[in-house]
Amino acid sequence: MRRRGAVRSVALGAAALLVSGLLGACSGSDEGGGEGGGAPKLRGEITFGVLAPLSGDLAERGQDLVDGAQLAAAELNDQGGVLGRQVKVVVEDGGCTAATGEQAATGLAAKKVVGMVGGLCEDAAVAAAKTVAAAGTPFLVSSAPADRLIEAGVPSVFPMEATVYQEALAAVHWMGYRSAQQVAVLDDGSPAAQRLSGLVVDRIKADGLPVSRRSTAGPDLAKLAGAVTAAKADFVYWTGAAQPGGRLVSALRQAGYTGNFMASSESDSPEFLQAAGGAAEDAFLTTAAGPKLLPTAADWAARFKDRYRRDPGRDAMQAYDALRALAQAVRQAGDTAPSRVVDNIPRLEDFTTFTGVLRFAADHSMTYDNYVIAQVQGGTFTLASKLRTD
Amino acid sequence: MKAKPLVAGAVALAAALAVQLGAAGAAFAAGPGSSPSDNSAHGGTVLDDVHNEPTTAVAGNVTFIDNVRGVSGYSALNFINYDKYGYDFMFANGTGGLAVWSLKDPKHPALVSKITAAELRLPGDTQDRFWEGENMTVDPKRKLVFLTRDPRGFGGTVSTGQSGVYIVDVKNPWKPEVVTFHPIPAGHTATCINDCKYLWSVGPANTGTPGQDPSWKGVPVRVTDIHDIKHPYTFDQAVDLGRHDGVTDYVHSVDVDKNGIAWASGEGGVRGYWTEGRHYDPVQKRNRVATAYDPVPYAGGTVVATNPAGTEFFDFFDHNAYHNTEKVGDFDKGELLYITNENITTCSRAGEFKIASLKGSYDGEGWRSTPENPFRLDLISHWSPWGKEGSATTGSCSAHWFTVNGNIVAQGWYGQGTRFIDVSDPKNPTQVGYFRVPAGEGVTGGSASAVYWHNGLVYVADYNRGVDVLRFDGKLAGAPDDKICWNSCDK
Repeated sequence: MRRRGAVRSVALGAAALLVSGLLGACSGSDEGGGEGGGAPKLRGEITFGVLAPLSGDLAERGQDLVDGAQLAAAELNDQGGVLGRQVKVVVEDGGCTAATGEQAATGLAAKKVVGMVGGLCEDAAVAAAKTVAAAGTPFLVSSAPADRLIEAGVPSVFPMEATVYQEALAAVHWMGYRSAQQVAVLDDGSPAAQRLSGLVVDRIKADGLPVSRRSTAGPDLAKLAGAVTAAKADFVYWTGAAQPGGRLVSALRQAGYTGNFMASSESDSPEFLQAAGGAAEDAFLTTAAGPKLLPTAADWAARFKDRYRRDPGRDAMQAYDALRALAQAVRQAGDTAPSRVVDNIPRLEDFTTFTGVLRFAADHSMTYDNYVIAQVQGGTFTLASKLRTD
Repeated sequence: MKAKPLVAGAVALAAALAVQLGAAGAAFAAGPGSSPSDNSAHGGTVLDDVHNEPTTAVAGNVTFIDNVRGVSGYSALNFINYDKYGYDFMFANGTGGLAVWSLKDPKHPALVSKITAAELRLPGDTQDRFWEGENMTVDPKRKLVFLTRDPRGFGGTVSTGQSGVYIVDVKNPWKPEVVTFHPIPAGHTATCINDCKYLWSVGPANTGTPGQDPSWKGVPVRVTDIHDIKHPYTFDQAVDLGRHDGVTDYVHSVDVDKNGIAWASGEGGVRGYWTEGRHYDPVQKRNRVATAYDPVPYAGGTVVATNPAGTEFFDFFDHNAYHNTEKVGDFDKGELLYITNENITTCSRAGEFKIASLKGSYDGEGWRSTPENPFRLDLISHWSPWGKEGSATTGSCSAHWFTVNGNIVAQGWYGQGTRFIDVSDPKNPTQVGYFRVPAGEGVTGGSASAVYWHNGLVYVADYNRGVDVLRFDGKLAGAPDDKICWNSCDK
């Protein structure tokens, strides 16, 4: 299934891509090349590593991730490279296990990469992070859940995803925007759902809002919906799986519930829409930003499609942002010494991702996370709010 | 009262120190380590400071005790008690940045650390000049200081500058650390709300910056969730809109009273909000839960122009306010609002201290006011130092920040110095003390920004002089307050 240790090295030339939008805004002007209308003359190479599962169930997503990183590299080279050097991307199949992640990180280290992006699978990403710890290799982890990476506390590792706690914050803040007065938080009993539920409830209580919490592994949805309605909740947040979430909102509407319904990112799935049917309309979702939701990503998505003949996924978008961020840190550092690059990652200047400014807190969680609020409109997820004011 | 041409207490300045600050490299002193008594009487390393003796001062019923300079002049102070040390520390912010003093000896603050304006610069800044940090707010539990950055700071302008807040961890007052700078589309002053789990940032006047509604004449309240200072979050929806007869305008200050009501002052009046608990909303006409980001209106409005009408802006510029939750004189418990009407004009017509009644404003009247049908609070009285004992006749003379102890208001009046006003009879405020420092040979002239009652002493944040430590020698009218409100009386 998975190609162990498969390495693909791709040197990217100066493809004649139209570069605009974000890249134009962030590109440096002091790195030579690019003048006179022709391809920039770059001296030497600077190599970044990409870690992604390239086989197995997640191979398609892994390829999406790789493509996003490669597009970033191509556009960087069109803009004069980094420190006047051509950006080169080497790819390692990190698989989805700790063993393969460690192996892939070791492989990238052998290629003397200046920094790494990617990850996607949590076990592989955490193992890779620990592997690069000793060398202090900068690693911007894209697509992989952040919590365990932060717990690992590797000084050179920065997750580009938000934590579960930050999803809870997104949910609570959106409740604020909707002026919630009585909240019901429901989950399906899974550990992940319960954890999110608990975090949400704690924060709601801290604000003094009335909140109830129900956790049920085999819900009688009609009964549950009736209880929620009887309790006069005006905001329901579901943290369980997608399919029961869809059935829940359907049951709620049938029970006469007219308040807000929001589901966690677990429900960012066609299964939710299918199970809910028409009851999904107007439902909200806390979910990580992706190119389909973000108008700011439209130009980039078009460039991506022009290059790869398909729409980008959010793994591509994350990897694209991660590689650009890494390149910006190298620019600011002025050289490729790992410690200097790492020092610059938390204080990138004039740098934005598709969701906004990229900052990292002392624990390396993102100061401003990438959770957005989606809303079902016309049977599809649309952007309700970026939840960003920075 | 007895006027004093010169200060008493000069003994406190026996050394009359004029010690130059150390080199910039000495910005941070070494921490106190595990022992708070490892160095001086102040519990840790003390930095050199400047003390300016006000030999030109005119004072009545006030004793000058000390002056400290720290990093610059200051717009505001605040105080935090540290159980582990057993005494307070004083924090001040001004153009030079943040200064921290030990108050182990409250009469003689000892400078223990600082964060200079140069250390607060952001990419793109062109000057080492912090601005402005009026009404400085702190979290005494988490030991946090919030430095409010106005867009006009660091060489910026209202339309181009960056506003927001620096969150500073002062768990170790000898080593304050900037946790983060959080950009906020507001930033003249800020106040902790709901036990400092939220921050209300306000002002300045219309910035014209992207993100501000072009119909706004000034920046209203921006609400930031600071439960978790690693992940501050500012809500996109602003609070206290339509404050000036229906027009959204400049909120300058937020001051939380002893009942937890947050009073937003600015152009168009003073309006109070519940930010916690379930209350009747007189605007929405229903009971609902109040939050910091969706507060419930309580009462308020503005008063008619006084002294006489001046400019369209300053006539209704209620700079800051204090809601007295107690009964005063013949007025009902909680009826009175003390207001600074800042008015930067000639000394004789400068902004005044006002007292207004909240009667008639509890049913949302202040939220329904329009130019055609304006609602105004009853003005009980107004007062200024003009023509009073110890006053100047020229210079900047407007009313500014004050704190209240019992029935004595201690207020800064720029060049008119510090004034102590007895409001026991709210219809007839009476000066009972003053302290003013004209410039002179070797004396830095005063410009009092804010005056703070604190543990029996009075500390003055002075734009020019730094901090003056005073003692009010008059009789304290009314019941002394157990807790003085220094912008937030919240828990």
